[in-house]
Amino acid sequence: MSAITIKNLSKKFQDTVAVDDISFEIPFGEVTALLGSNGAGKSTTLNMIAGILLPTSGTIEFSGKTFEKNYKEVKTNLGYLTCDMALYETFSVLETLRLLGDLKGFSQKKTNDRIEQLAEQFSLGEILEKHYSELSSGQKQRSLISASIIHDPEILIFDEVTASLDLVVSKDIMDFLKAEKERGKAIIFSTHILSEVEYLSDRILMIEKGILVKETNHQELLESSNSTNLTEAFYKALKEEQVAA
Amino acid sequence: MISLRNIKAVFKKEFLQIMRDKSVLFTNFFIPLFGVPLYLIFVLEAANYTVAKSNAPLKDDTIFTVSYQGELDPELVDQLSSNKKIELKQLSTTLNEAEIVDYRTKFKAFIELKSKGFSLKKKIKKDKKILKENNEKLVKAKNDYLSALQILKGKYTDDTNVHIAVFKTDSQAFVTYFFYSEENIISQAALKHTRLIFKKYETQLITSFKSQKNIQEYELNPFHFWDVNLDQSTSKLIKVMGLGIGGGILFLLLMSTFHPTINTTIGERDQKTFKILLMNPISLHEIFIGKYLNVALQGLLTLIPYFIEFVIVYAWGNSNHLFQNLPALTATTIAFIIAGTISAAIFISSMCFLACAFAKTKVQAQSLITLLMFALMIPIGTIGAMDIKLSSIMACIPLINFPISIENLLLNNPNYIAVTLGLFVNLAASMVLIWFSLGAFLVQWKGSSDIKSLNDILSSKRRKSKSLAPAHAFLAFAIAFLGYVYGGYAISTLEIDIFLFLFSPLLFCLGTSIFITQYSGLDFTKTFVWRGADWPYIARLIVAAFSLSLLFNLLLSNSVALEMFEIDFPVIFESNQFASLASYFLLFAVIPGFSEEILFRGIIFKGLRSQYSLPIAVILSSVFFAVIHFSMFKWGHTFAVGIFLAIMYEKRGLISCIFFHICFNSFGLLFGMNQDLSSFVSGMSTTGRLIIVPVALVFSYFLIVPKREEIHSSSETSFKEAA
Repeated sequence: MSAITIKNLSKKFQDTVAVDDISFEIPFGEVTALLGSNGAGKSTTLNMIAGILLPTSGTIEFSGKTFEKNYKEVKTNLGYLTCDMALYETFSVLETLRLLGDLKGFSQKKTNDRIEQLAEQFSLGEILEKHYSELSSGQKQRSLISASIIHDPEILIFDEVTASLDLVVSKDIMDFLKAEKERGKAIIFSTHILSEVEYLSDRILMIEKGILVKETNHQELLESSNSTNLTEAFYKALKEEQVAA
Repeated sequence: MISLRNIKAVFKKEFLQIMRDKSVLFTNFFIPLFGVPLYLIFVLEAANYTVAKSNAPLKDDTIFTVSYQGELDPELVDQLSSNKKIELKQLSTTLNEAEIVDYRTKFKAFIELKSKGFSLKKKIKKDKKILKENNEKLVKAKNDYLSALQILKGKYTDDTNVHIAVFKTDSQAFVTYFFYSEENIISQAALKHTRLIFKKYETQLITSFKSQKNIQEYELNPFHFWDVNLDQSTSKLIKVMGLGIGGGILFLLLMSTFHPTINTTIGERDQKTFKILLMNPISLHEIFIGKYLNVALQGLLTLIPYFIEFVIVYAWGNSNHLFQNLPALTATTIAFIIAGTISAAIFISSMCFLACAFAKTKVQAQSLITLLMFALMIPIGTIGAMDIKLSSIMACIPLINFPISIENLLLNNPNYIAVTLGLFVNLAASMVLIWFSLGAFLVQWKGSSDIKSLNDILSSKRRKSKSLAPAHAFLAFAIAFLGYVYGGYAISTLEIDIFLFLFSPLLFCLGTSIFITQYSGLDFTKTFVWRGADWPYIARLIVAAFSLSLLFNLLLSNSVALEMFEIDFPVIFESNQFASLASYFLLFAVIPGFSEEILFRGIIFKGLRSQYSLPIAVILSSVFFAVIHFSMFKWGHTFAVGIFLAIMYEKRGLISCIFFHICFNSFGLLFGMNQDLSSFVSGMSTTGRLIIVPVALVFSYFLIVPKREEIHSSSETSFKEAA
C-alpha cells in the first residue's frame, strides 16, 4: 500500500490556482523529488500533504487514513521540515524537544529516550543546552531536523531544506534521508539543487504552474531529453513544457 | 475533542516565553514590586500628612481671632468671648474691610457681568458703544475682585492667626466667613473649635425661636457657612496623584503588556515557529485556548498592583468610608481587587486577541491594540469636559464595570434589584465581547470553512515592513491624547493652575516625540526643513493663515476666540497689557505651533505616510488632529486645517507647518481680542459670509499648496542644499 495517495488535489488562493488537479502516489521505501520553478506550487502541495493547508478539492490519504477522520494518528506519522522554520529563540533546544514530545503525547521517559537517540544520531550533545539563537546555521539545521522527527514518523516531507546551507550540512541531510529511506520510510522532498535529486531520488515529479507535468525518474529524464546531465535535462524538459503551454 | 494536556503544554510554553522576555521582567515584576510600592508610600505619606494636619488638636496656648462686623447678638458675643482661645474683634467699616467682606459679591458680579457681556456682544452686534461700556464695567469688576483677593491673602492668612469673620446680614441670618489655609494647622482646628460654638448658639436660637412662635416643625438656618479656601486642597492633589498618575502607570503597563502578548500570539508567524507547533497532533482550538489563558494571566499579573493602588487611593480620598464602615470597605477592597483584576484581565486578553485576529503582522496588531486603547480613552476623555465621574464612565465599559457594580452593592446602593440586573447586563455584554474576540480569532486562523486563511497567514506575501512607524504613530497619538485629557481634566475639575493645563499637552507632545524618536528610529529632527523657503511663499502663508482664520471665525461666530476668554488667567496676566498679550501669544500660538506640529506632522503623519498612501495618511492624521481638540465645534475646522498642514508638510517640510500654525492661531487670537475686528466679524451679513467663505477656502488652498513645477524645483533646491 502506498504511504500517500493523492487524488485530484487542487488549491485556489482567491483568484489564483496554485495547485491544479494533481494526482500521484508515494510508496514506502522510496524518495520522491518534487521539481519545479519558483511559484510552481511545490510548497503548496507539500503544505497540503503536511496538513497545514486545507485543499480546495481532492483527497489525500495516508495508507487509507485521512486528516478528517484520523487527525491525531495521521499527524503523529508525519515529519515536516522547511527552510523557513525556526525553533523558539527563548528556549534551549532540549526544552523545545521536550515540549514537542509533550505535544506528541509521549511520556516523559519516552521523550527523554528519544532525545538521547537523536542526540547521538545528530551529535547534539553540546547543542542541547544552548538557546536556538546561539546556534550556528549547521547546528540550527540539526536541531530542526531533530525537532521534526522527534516522534520518528513514517513519512518525511522536506521542503527546500538545504536552501542556503553549505555543502557539508547539505550532504549530512542527504545522508540522513538516504538512511531513513533504507529504513523503509516514505520521503518526499522539494529542492532546486539537482545534484541532490541525482544522489537521492527514486522518482521525480515535475510541477509547473500548479500542474503535474511529468512523472519520471532520473534515468528516464536523461534519456528522453538526450542530455548528459540532469541540469540540462531538466532545463530542456521545462522549455518543452513552456512551449507546449 | 479538546485535550487538556495539549492546552497545558501550550500554556506552559507561552508562559515561559513571556516570562523570558526582558521587557516583561520590567513591567510585570520590577514596576509592581518596586515602582508601585514606592509610589504608594509617597501617596500614603501625603495622605497621612493631610489627615494628621486636619485632625491636629489646638495647643493650650493657641489663641485665634474671630472678627465680626456690625451688631451681633450679645448672647453670641458672650459665648465667643468667654472662650479662652478666641480673641473677639469687631471690624470697623472702612472701605478696605468692606471690600474684603464684599469680595464674594464682587466676584459673583464679575462672573455675571462677564457672561452678560459676551451674550450682549452677540445680541447687539453693531452697537460698539454699549459694547465698550460693558467691557469697561467688566474690567473694573475684574480688577475689584483681584485686588480684594490680594488684600485677603495678605490680611487673613498668616501662620499664627486664623480669622473667622461673622457678619450679620439681616435680622434672622448671619453669614460667617472662615478664612483659612489648609497649610495652616491652627486654621483647621480653630475652624472646628469655632464651629462648635456657633452650632451650640444655633441650637439655642432655634429652640427659643420655636418656643416663642410655638411651632414644632420649622426649617431655620440662621448661619450660612462659607469656607474660603485660599490654597489648593491637598486631598484633591492626592486624587490627582492617585487617579491621574495611577492612570498613566496603568496605561503604560497595559501598553507594555500588549507587546509581549502580541509577540507570542501573532509573532509566532513572524518568527517562523508556527509550523513547528502546527505539525503536532494538536487542534487550533487547543493552541488558541492555551494562548488565551496565558494572555489573561499576564493581564492579571499586570493589573493586580494597579488595583491595589487604586483602592488605597480611593479609600484615602474618601476617608469617611475608611473610618465609618470598615467591614464594608474591606469587602469592597477585596471585591475590587479580585473582580476588577480578573474582569480587566479578560477584557485585555479579549482586546489582544481581537487585534491579533484582524492583523496580519505584528505591526498591524500593535497599531490595532493602540487604537482599541484609544477607543477606551475617548469616554474617559469626556470626564473633564462634561463633569462626568470616572466611575460612571467605567460603568459603560463591559467587564471593567464589574467591580463598580459590586461596590455599589456593598457601599452605596441599597437597590439590590437594580444592581443585580446591572451585573447581569454587564455579564452578558462581557460574554458578547469574549465571544466576539474568540470568534474573530478563530475565523482568522481557521477560515470560515477550512484553514484557508491560515494559509494567508503562513504563505502570504505580506509586506515585511521593517518600520514600526505606523504603530508608533498611533502610540504617539494615544499618549498625547492622554496628556490632553489629563490637562482638560485637571483644569475643569480640579482647579489646577492654568500652566499645568497648557503645558501638559506640550510636555506630552514633546516627551512623546522624543520617546518615539528613540524607540522607532523615526527622527523628527530630520524633518525640520523648509523646502523652497522664499519670501513670496512666507507672505502667501501669512495671507492664507489670515483668510482661513477669518473664515473659521465667520463660520463659528467667534466662538473659538470666546472660548479662550472663558479660562481664568492667573493674576500676573491681568495686570500688564503687554504681558497679557505676550502670554496669550505664547500659550495659544507659539507653544501649540511647535508641539502640535512636531507631534502631528513630524511623528504621526510621517509614521502613517511610511506605510499608507498620501490621502489615507493625510485624512487619518487630520482626524487625529481634530479629535485632540475635543470641542465638537472645533472638529470641522481643525480637520480642514489638518489637511492643509499635512499636505504642506509633505511638500514643504515641518518648519513651514509650524510657521503657518503660529500665524493661524495668532490671527484667531486677534479676531477674539480686538473689539473692532471681532465686532466686524460678528456683524457681517449672511450674504457677505456666503461670498467670503468659499473664496477664502479656495484662495488659501492655492496659496498653501504649491504648483507642480514649484514642488519640483523646490525639491531640487533641497537636494542641492543637502549636498
